[in-house]
Amino acid sequence: MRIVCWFLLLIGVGSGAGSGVGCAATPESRTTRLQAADVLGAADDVREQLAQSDFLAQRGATSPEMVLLPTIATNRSDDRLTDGERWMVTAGVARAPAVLGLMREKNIAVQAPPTAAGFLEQYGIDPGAHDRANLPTHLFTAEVASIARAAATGLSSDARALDERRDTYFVRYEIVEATGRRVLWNGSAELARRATGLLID
Amino acid sequence: MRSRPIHVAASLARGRWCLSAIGCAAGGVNEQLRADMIAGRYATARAEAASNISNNREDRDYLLDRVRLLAAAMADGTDRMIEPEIAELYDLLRTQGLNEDRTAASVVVGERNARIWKGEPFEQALAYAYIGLHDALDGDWGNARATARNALFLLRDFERSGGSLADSWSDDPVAQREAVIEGADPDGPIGYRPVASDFEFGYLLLALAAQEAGYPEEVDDALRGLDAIAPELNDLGRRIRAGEYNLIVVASAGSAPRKVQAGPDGAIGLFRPTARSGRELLFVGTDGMSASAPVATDINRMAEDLRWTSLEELRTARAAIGRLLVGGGVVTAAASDDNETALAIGAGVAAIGALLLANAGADVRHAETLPQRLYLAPVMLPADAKTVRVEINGGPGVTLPTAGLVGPGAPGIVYVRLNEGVANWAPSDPHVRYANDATGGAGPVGRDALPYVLGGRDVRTPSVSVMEDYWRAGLPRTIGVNELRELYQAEEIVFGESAERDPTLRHVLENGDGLYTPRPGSIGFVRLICREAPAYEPRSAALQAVRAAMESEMRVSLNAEDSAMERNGR
Repeated sequence: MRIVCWFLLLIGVGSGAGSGVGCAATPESRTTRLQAADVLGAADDVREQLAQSDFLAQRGATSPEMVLLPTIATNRSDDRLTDGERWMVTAGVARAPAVLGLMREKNIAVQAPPTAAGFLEQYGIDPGAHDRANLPTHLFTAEVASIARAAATGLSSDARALDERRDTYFVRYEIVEATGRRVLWNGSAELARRATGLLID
Repeated sequence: MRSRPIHVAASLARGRWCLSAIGCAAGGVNEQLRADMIAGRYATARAEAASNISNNREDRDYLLDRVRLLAAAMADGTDRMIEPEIAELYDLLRTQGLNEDRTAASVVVGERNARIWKGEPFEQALAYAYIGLHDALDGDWGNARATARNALFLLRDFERSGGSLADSWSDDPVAQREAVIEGADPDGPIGYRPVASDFEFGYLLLALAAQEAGYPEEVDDALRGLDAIAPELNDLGRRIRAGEYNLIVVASAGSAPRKVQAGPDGAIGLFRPTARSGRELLFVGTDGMSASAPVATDINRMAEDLRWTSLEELRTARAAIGRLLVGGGVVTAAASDDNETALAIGAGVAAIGALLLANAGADVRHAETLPQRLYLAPVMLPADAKTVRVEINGGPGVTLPTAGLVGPGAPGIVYVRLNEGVANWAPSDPHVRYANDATGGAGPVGRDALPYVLGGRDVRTPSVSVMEDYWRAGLPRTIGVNELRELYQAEEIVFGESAERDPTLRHVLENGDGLYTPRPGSIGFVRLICREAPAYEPRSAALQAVRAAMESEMRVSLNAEDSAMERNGR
């Protein structure tokens, strides 16, 4: 009988090494990859910065129409971004209701390129109609950068391994003239993601 | 009476192989894929790997399937077919703690039967590098750069009294690993520290991607990292930094090391080379240009390096539990004499211990399709070069057509997996024999410009834009693009997006069902497009009828020409 208990104790210890961590861990993210929802969350920041900008302060509902065309974001981050994700960073934000409403008040039409339309629809963003005759006067560009940090917290099943990663993403937005490329406005958004769990496992 | 426990122990010992066979059948290893890769049968390996791929994210081989497929498709030049699989692979490589909830299960049933394969750290670095290379081949330098950075993750070095253990350790890899697992060896406690990666190819890829993406400071950072670990690659870095290239040749050779069980109860996983390491230079040359590059990364070296392998605490712990239980069970049975209850308990515990021992063997799953070494050579190809030779000094080589490789504004990039199998069939003077979607339809003339299935040399995807070429070559104008597509469908030939996304396909030029074009400059491109294929044999009545009608029309036309000539002769 003593042996059976001993056996149970051993199995308990053996499995506790892993399951203990599993139990203790909060339902935290397992990845620091940039998610589409994160990107859309930046739309409020962009709207706020645009609303307070000199660029829009000079405009009103009767200003000459401006046609803004988002371009696919440049990826300078440590994450591999699909075309869809890169379009979400620009077209997704520019066509987000919060930003779109502000633009309309300033007589700025935001045209999503046809290549971006399918991606926007996937995330419930209305791409709108693309009017080929209405040529873009301005471009909405973005560059995504990031800083990654990894650490060993000692909480995982292998106490000596890296088991936490933090990625802080910085998105720099610009509105530039379609011809001449003069920068009329720039803004930024920042978001951080943290994930736990052994990086090599 | 003493015979009974001995009998129990002997039975358990005899039974262990059965338990082992049931619980941990050293399965999951695919030597056929390795053989195909060694023989240069990359399309076969790619199709085979794709046919067996799991689509269940919970499948323990989900990642392994994709790494195998990636290396095979890259070698074949058909990696664009597997973009969804590459995206999945990257996503899961970036997912942490994949097996955190599976630790308990792997104690009991063994790693092979419980844990999702994520590969040893060196296999993960190589998977990242291949994904980055795939992006680079697509000209997507931003993603190539991001993926290369992920390939350069920190490693765990081990030290005693402030110094690295690398120089002072015993040559016995099992002893090394056991010492690290136990945290000490006879000379004292062993600590660890995170250190920068020494994955040379990763630094080169990062420098190249940063250079092409326009981030010079990052190029310098990457090259400083490279210089610290591999000064012999300094000249490659300088050529990248100076932009002295219009073509990047990435080459690999040999076969990945094989993972085997070693040590007590086979609990330690070790990699054994299947292709020898070597320092042979890679030569890239054509008329008026010759360049060389040293081996960038020796994968045998990585596989043997403790810093590039995961630790084995769990396996050792499980083996220890097993030994304890077998010992405890046998002792209990031996001491029980006539106590049948104690004997039964002892035997039961010993049986469980034997089960644990049977499953204590290291998980030997590994990516067999990876190579033994990697090269990266930046070269300046003359504008008029028609072919370029890529060859390992004293080893295999291949001559590539330059069609479609180097365009204005951006450098070309090719990836070739070299081995004797390829060298045996590769043409010495390759040129584009079949019009294709990558290099276009300018090659064949006359009836050769007809689709391959109609007796010509054109394997382009049927589209409105190619029909004019076909009509000029003699295709009746009654056959438009829709009718041609129907003919392909009648032949059960897959084309267009369906073919571009189906890695199980083989090409019609090889008696398969797919119409697609591998990347220019790839081994698959040379094999399919630059060699003579057997004439196509129609399978459907519809195609046979069209071909018969065309033959008949041609005979009428030839007869008319003969008659005209005869009349003129008179």
